[in-house]
Formats: sequence, C-alpha cells, structure tokens
Amino acid sequence: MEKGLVCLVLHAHLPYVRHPEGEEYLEERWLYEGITETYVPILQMLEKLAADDIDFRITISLSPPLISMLQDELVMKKYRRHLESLMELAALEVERTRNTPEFNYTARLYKKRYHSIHRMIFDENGGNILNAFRKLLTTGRVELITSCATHGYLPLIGLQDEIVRAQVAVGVELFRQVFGRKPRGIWLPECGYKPGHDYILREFGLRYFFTDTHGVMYASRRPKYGVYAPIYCPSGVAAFGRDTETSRQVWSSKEGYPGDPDYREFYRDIGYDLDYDYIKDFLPHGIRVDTGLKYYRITGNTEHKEPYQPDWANEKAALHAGNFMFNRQHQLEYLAELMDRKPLIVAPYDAELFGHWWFEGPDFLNYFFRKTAYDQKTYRMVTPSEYLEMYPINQVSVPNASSWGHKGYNEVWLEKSNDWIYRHLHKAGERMINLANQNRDAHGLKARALNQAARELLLAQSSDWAFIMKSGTMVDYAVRRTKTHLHNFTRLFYAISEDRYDEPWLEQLESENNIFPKINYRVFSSDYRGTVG
Amino acid sequence: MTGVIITILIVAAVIVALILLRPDRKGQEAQPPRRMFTMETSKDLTPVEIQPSVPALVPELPESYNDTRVVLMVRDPEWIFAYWEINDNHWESLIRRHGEPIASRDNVTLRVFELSGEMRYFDINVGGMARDWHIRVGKSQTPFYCHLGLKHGGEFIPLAVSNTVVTPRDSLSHLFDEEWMLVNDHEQRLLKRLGNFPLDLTSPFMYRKEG
Repeated sequence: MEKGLVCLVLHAHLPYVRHPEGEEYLEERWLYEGITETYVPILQMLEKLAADDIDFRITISLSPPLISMLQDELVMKKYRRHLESLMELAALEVERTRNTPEFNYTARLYKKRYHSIHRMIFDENGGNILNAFRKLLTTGRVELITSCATHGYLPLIGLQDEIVRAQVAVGVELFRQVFGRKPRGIWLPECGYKPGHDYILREFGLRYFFTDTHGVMYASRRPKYGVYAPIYCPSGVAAFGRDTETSRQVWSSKEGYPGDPDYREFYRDIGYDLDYDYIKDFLPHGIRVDTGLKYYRITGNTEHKEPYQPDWANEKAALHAGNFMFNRQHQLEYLAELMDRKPLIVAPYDAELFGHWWFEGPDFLNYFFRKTAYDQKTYRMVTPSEYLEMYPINQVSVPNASSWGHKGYNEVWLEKSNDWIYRHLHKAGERMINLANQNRDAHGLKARALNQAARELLLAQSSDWAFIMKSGTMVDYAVRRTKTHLHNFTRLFYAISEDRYDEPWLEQLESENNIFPKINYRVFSSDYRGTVG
Repeated sequence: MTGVIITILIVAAVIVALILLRPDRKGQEAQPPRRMFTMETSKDLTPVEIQPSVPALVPELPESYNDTRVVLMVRDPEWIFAYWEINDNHWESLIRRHGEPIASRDNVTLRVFELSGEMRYFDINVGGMARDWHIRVGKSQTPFYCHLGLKHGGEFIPLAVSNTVVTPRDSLSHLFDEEWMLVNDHEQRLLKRLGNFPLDLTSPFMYRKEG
C-alpha cells in the first residue's frame, strides 16, 4: 500500500492571438511554438503511455483562448502552412549539415519530429488537436479542467461579482461544448484567488481550484496538514496548495533541472544564427525570430556553446526523472510519519515550460510516469477528483488572497507599467453589466452587438496584456490589444445605448474577434447564476 | 613631390570608395549554405524586439468617464492602489460653493481609513495632475476604504467613498481550531434534488472533528 499521493498539474494557456488580417502575424507564432514544442509532444507522450498501459495520472487545464484557437479553422490552416514550412526548412537543414555529423543527427531528428507532428494533427486527428485530448479523456487517466474565459486575473478585474461570474461561466460552458461534460475543477488564472470567489465557482459545480503555497498555508485557520491536503473554502470548494519542493526542483535557476549543461540551449536558434539569405524565406517578413531549430546545448555558463547531443540529453532527462521520483519518495515517507492520512503533493506547472522552454521536458515527464509506475511503491499518482473521492472530509478554512506570480500577490498585474488599465476595464465591466441588466430579451442586431460587446470586454480582460506590459517586451502589442478591445467595447456600448448599429462594422468585429461564437451576453446580468450539474 | 601626393590621394580615394561602396552583407546575392556550421558567427544573437507585422492604429482611451469616483485595489499585504476622477460639473459646483482656494486641484486628498478597531485614518495629498496612487498601508489582513476629498486647513470635504479592500495575510494564522466538512458527489446530487437550497443559512454537512 502506498504511503502518499502525487498530483501533477499542467496549465496550458496562450492569449487569443488570432489575426485574420495578416498572412503572417508574429504573435501567432506563440501558438505555433506551443503546438509544435509543447502540446503535441505532450499529447504524443501521453498517448504512448496509454498505449503501453502505464498507470499514470495527469491533470491538464486548457484555457478557453487556447481551446478556441486550437479549434479555429483559420488558425489551424495557418499553422499547417507554418509547420509545412518548418518541414521544408528541416529537410534543407539535413542537406546543409550532411558533412557535419554533430549537427546532422539533430537536424534529422527535427525533420522526423515535424513529420510526426504533421501526421498526428492532420492525419490522425483531422486537423483538430482537441480530438487527441478527447481520446485521452476516455483512458480515465487524464483529468481535463477549465480556466477563466480569457484568463482574466480575477482579483483585479473582479470589482463586481458579475465580472468574475462571467469569466467562470464562459470558461465552463466552452469546456462543456468541447468535451461534452462539465469540468470538475478550474485553474484560476495565475492562481489568483480572492476570498469569496469560491462561492461563484460552486454555482458551476466546480469542486476545486489551485492556489500557491501561501494560499493554503496562510489560510484563515491554520491548515492542519499544511499544503499536503486540500482545504475546503466555506463554500465547500476545495483549494489545493502548491508544494514548494517540486516547484523548486524544476523552476530554480540554480537547482532546477532545465539548466543542465546537456539540455538544449534555447537562445541559439538558426533563425538568428544562420546566414540571412539562407534563412530569410523561413522568417516572417524576413525578421529574425526563433525557428525552433536549435543545435547547441547549454554547455555551461559561457558564451561558447557545444553541439547538442540528443542522446545525452535524453539520458539526463531519465536521470532527472529518477531523481524527481526519489525525492518524492523521501518527501512522502517523511510526511507520512507526521500525518494521519496519506500526504498529497500537488505539483502544478505551466505546460509551456515542458517542450518550449525545457525542450526535454516531455521526455522528463515520460520517464517520471514510467518510473513511478514500475520502480517504486511509496506513492501513486492521483487527480484532484480522485483525491476528493478518497478524502471527502477536509478542514474548512478560507484560503489567503494570493497568486503564483512574482512576490505571491497582485503586484505583477498591478504596478506602474499596467495600473492604468483597470480604470478602463472596471468602467467597461460596469457598463456591460448595465447593458445586460437593461436588455434582457434582446434579439437580432442588438443581441449580436451585446454578444460582441461581451467578447470585446472579455478579450480586454486577459491577464496576459498586463503581464506583457510588466515584462517589457512586445509591450506595444499588449497596449494595442487592451486599447483596441476597450475601444471596440465602448463603441458598441454607445451603439446599443442609442440603438443605432453599424452592421458592416459589427460583422467585421464578429469575424475578427470571433472567440466564443456561442456566447450569451446574459452571463453578465446581475441575476445570472451558474447551475450545478 | 606633387606626383607622390597625387598618388597618395588617389590611393586614399580608392580606399575610401572601397569602404563606402562595400556591399551590405544582407544585400548580397544568396550565398551557398555554409558547410562548416561550427564556424558560424552569432552576430544577431541578441533577440531583437519584434515589431508587429501589421502596424495598426491604436485608438486612444478617454481621459475620464465623467464620474466622480474613487476605487481601491489590493496589491499585496503592504500596499493598496487607488484611482479616481472628479467630474467637471462637480468641480464647477465645488468652485461655486467653496470658492477657488478651497476647490483647488492642489487640495485633492485621499483619506484612507482602517476599518478596524478605532477607525484610524491617514491623509495623502494627491493634488495636481495625479489620477492614481500606490499607497503603502503596511498592514496585512486589514480592511481599508478611503474618501476622496478636498482638504484645506483643518477642513475635509468628502467627494466620493471607495469600495472596501482587505489586504492579504503574510503569515500563518494563529487560529488553530479545526472545522471539518464533508463534500462529495452524493451530497451534490442531494443538493441538486433539493433545488435552490439556501446553502449559506445552515451547514448540515459540517462535522466537527472528534477530540
């Protein structure tokens, strides 16, 4: 019998960067890189685990903007062109490096990898990656959960409950449409929690969410089991707190695995390294960007980089997975002595860490799952739902207002670079609520305008824009998105208030900012409530 | 002598011309791909900030919404943030009522109240062009709200009242008493059957832990 439990959570999210107005749009590459480097490699890894009948568990939250882009025909058509161009580049690379075996091996791996991704998406899943997630759901080993509509940072945008409720409602509803069932849990964007929001989650039948360590540790009543068991909010919704050791082992710049010298170096990409004339046709508008083809390993804290050796990196991933497992065994053996129930380790990560930033991340996960299944008996992996079935009685305490951002609270999204957005977001929120309250039975053009106003507001509320403003790169884009969506919203607000519509313009907005085609603006009305079940 | 100078000048001119006319690397005809990858330099290694491919017009947002309001937000256990605006008509009526020296932008003040115990407050003069302020309250798990007003001498004329915010906790709680609750699917089904059962009024599913 195992002594403890491990719950691994990946949060997959990208902002809505669909740009029908241009053939090649740089920000769309965030999604392309996510698909090629993270989502598909992780899906392929999980499919293989299932095929090999490995008893694994993973919880994945898919943010609504990501789901929306993955099922958007135009986006996926553009992605297909992008991937095919990568395949062409990889083929050229195999040719170019044929006399340099130290690079040729890696080039051939890229070529093979891109072909397999193409086959997986377009042959096996009809161009829709979500089909692969649907298949995984049937294994019972993968728990999919939702997130807020546009990843709005609830503690700051949620001046009114209606705003929080709409963000949750739209996320839950999209999940239901895509996966045919209601999600049992939710990933609060950036783990941003404010006491009271759990009552809104409960309306939608959501049983749990995650907080950073201090969300549970600094709860109103001291948690008896620390973060090694969830607590119930007074609403009955469970809060699972993040374990510190597992995050440090992966994230720490000093102790973290991804910085190993054998792993692939992220910052040496042929998009920057190779002769311009050779590479320019594979660059968007000829601008040097990452292509994804990288031939060096981290090597050490030096400018000089050695060629990447995929086999060494693979072995290192296995070694690190073994170490990760070993540490969990020790951690849980220790904790089990102190607790009168099985201790639970909750290890949540950004999905994009695995594959995109840490190229070998999916291999690491693969080895970790396999080793966990075969090489030890100290712990087993669970999903939060399984845990709550096993332990339906939990301590009641109000989690602390917190986030998993830098310094643990709201500062990342509320500081000098981005504090100006809230005055506008709050005003727009207030107006949207009033519109929904005053137009309960709108139909025709008015209903379309109301629905589009809801979309524009939600898009403006995305936490990503404030984050990018703070991070200091691509700031113009984030500012433009915030201002544009707010401006569109305001124009619609006046149009609806005056009952005068510019139909061609509305149509253009509907096709440009087409997220949530089935949205119902009434989710913003003050008497709207989620329904359990 | 003149010949030597002319020769030097010609040589110099040729050198200058060669330097000036040196073709731009990027403008050259496509070079054959290099074979020796190891020899490649990394002249463009520093990531450049990428400009959007389609520079679009960025609409400007309104300076104000013609409200008189003040809103508080929480940043962390030590800091809160306020933004405000004062409606133009409101200003004019203030000037009419109180006269210029009092109804002056320089006198705009935030009076921040601590909603606990004896209702302590402190004032921050935010006069001038400011429209928002990061306020250090230095006190975790404490509720605050504020008045936006005009302060002149000892007089404070309130113009708007903010919402209330509570700073988060930054340490372990000293409350050790344990309360436990049972939540399961069975219960969920029961609740669904019951319909709009007022969950908050009673807690039939709560269990105190024995001993």
